[in-house]
Amino acid sequence: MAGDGLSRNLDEPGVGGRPAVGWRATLAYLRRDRSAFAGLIVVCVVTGVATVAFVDAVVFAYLSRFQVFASLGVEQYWLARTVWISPTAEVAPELLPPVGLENAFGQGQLAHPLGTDDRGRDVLLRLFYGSRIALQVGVAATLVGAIGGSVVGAVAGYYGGWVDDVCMRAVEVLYAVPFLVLVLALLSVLQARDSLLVVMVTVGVVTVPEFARLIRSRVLSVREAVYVEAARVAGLSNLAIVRRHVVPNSVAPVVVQGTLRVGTAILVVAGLSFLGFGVAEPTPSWGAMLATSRDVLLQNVWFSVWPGLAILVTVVGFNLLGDGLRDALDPRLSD
Amino acid sequence: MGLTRYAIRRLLQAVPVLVGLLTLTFVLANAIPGNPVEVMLGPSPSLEEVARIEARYGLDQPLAARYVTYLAGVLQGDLGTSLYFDVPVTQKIAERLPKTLLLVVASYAVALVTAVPLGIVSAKRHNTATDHVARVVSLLGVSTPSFWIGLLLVLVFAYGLGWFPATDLVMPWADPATVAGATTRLGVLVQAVTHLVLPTVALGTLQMASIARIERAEMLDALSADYVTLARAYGVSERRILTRHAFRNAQLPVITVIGLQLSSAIAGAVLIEVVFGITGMGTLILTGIYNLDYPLILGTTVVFGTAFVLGTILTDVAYAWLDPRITYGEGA
Repeated sequence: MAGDGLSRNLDEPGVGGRPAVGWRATLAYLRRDRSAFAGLIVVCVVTGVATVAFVDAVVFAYLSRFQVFASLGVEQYWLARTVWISPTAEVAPELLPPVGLENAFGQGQLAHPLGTDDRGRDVLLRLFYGSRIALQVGVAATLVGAIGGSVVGAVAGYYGGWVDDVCMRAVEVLYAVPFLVLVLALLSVLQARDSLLVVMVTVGVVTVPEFARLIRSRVLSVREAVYVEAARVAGLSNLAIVRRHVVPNSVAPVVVQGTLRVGTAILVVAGLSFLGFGVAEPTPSWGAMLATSRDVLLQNVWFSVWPGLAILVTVVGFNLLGDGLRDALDPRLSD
Repeated sequence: MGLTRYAIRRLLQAVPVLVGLLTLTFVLANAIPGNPVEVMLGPSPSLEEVARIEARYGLDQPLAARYVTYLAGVLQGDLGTSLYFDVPVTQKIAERLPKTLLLVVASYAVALVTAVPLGIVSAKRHNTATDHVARVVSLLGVSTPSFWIGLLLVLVFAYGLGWFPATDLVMPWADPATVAGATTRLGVLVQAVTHLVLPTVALGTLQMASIARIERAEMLDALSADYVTLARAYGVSERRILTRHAFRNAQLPVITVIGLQLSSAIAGAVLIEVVFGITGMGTLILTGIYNLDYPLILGTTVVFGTAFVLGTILTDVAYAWLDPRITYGEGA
């Protein structure tokens, strides 16, 4: 493997246009790139919050079906209820302004640091739980696109000829419709306006062409490399060549592109839930919170600020990390 | 091969794509669960009423027959009758399309006017404070949801300061009698511009940021190219190098990005129309979806798709026109 020859370079990864090889080298590189490291921290924090929210909202809801856990009092939003209040519970009928104003402290404690929404629910808690939808759908959709696109692109690039034509033309049909219109049409056809799963898959399918093109071009260049020719002469099967040479050479661009695409997918998901697709009340999501904030724009100005900031910070995090990874792993793509 | 022939060939290549688009939307729209007749007539209509409505909209025909009728209709510019509005879909689209086009074109114009200088300055002052600020601005631009920018603009500039209205667009060619706050042609124009400012800025930010990023990268690339070094060695002024040598060569990828941004510009337009209550194509397709109005969904998707394909061809042709290296070869 290429890593052995470069091991003395581990201390200076990415220097001189050489890509960083391996996890440790990549991390070391990211540590030196301040903006990429900031992105990494944002991504880790948001992922941590989203994981807690996922366990609390989804896993506990599932566990509560079993007698054992039900008797322990484990139920949906168990953590939130125990520590604070449920993100779906209505606590006050009127809108409370955010912290710094007299209403922020209830009974001597910080009751609603970021105020409440139109139904009196705590905004900070709903922001925390909204991160689950953003990340879950963002990451899952990107995985769908990356895996689907990589398979199509690898097959098209490796076999070439009519296989290439069929694969790439089929994928390009997806390019003929603007993606949001396509996603909206798919969601309404499947009558799955509230289905997260369908949102994940449709948002992912729409990114297939992009990954397919990326992998296809990478495969085309690898296919002609001398070592692949040598492998073919040595009698390796097509599958073995793809697995041993093509895949390792294509991982870096997919990781880079995937990281950047998670940010875009989060923006798309926020837009969809803003329009009322993907999640239904009372599940908290950033886009839906912004949609609600429109109705009470003048009563509670801050309510329309926080969810947008949450989206912005998360997407900036993924973009910084993606740019940093690109510099570290794939200097050829760097701008 | 000349540019005209290249353009014609690109248009011909788009025909199968458009047929595919029509087929796709037809299949999608007819797979919609839920009966549109029920939506129109309420929960328990009489059988005669159902039959009457079904016959009127051709819903009693077999699927294949409906497909042929549909394709023949589209070729004659007939997209069917909207179930919700009870008028021809083409009439609705003709009302709505100009607003969306105005919004998208204006946002591209704003984006280009701001992004190109931003990218150039950023590249020229590489790694200075100006460059860092410009990079942060474009990073924030590509990371911020356009509809949120729209909401904040409404909050600050419409409700807070009252500088611009946050209502439906006014078309510049509208009759002064129908426009509030305008009595003359000039008044209508002023109203049109003030109504356009906030949605355009909200929608243009993403385009601006993406174009600025690529402009900066390409200018950096061009400024370090051999021909620039050579020009410097010959004593060509920096200004001339920037405007004559580097700038021209850096613009081709920018055109590609403009084409690639078209899809997100349309997506952004749908969201921005909702935020500002603009009665354009975006709110039209949403009305169709919320009301199971399948001729309307079909028609708007087809028009969106066609506009998108034409936009892509336009950028391809612009690219070929600007790049002397492209020979319009048959295999391209």
